[in-house]
Amino acid sequence: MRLPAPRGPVSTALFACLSGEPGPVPSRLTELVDALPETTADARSDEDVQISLWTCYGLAYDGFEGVDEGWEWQPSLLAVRGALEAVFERDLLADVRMPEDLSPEQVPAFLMDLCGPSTPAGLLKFMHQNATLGQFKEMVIHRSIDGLHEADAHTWAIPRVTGRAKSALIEIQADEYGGGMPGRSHSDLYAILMTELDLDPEYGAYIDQIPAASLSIHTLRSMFGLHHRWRGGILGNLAATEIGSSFINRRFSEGLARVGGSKKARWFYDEHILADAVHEQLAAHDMCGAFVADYPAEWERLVIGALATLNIRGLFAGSIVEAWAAEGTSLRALATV
Amino acid sequence: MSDEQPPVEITVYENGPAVIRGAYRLQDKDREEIDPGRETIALCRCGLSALKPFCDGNHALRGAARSAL
Repeated sequence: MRLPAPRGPVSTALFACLSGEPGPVPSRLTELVDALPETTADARSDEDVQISLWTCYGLAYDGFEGVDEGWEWQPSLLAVRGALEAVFERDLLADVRMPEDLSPEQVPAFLMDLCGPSTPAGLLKFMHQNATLGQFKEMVIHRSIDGLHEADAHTWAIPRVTGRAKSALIEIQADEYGGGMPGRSHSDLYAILMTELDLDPEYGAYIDQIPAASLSIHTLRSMFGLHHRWRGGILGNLAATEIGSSFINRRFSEGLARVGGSKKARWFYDEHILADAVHEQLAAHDMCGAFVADYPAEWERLVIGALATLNIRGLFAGSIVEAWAAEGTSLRALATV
Repeated sequence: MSDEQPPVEITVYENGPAVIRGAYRLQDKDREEIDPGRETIALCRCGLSALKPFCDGNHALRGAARSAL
């Protein structure tokens, strides 16, 4: 995968730096990221912040053509990533409201209720009943950054937890990876979905068209997954992803069938209907229920993780609905060369 | 020991499905096998599933109105 196009001063300086040998980053880049608390209104939807953060995390997944792998653990670059994460975390937490009277033992039922089948801004109903094939393709492009790496960010959590929570996490993850059968992992099914819709299934193929609000779904998972102190948050993120997913995916499948999507294209959605009916119970009760009981000091982090995830999903849905209501595309325009 | 089948395990979730694991056989009333295409399955307990006998998450429709769908 090539480096994406920069979207502002931070990504311009960052990408220029990544093309060189690993070492200290230019002071200009450090100054820019140090100023982010003042220059960023909401890091969740800031194009420059999100493409920079996505690229920093990309070094831990696929890497980039022409970028030395030594950058992944280069301390100066980790400091840049840390500054990006700090402003992202600031804006995530600013929008999270912990229920005052919630107790740890209520967490599974709370999550089941909170993450139920409704999606913000009526996006699910629109996809089910109104979206055109072109709009479906846009949605699949938006979600490709996450779908082609489905489950991977949650795998970071496996070595970070023990006991019953770990067992439930592994049961979910094994299923996500198709039980180890080649070609059956959910990310493989996502690639099939893209191919059936005449889209390029190569990871990052559409990166320059994918806006910050869509990238933040993936950068959130990566940040939670890559930080031990957010191990509760990554479990809350997984629960918020699994709960309600059967309901959502059935309607996506029916919506795609309505515009002529093949059975093979719908496999990704259809697989999630039955799989996630199991996963949502495992996630809420076995995984999160066990975690809040076994890690009493960290139960609120799990709930914060779920709430932050739903907030980001809301931003994403809102931005798409707004773009389509204006009868435009929800994707970013490619720079003309 | 290695030939022993694991016992069928049925876990009933509050306000949710029954999750079945192990060497179960799923069949209809004529004893025709239903292939779920997976090892662990969730069976509907609320009657709202459109994919019975499997759970499809529709239990969430009970109770609070989901007007924002």
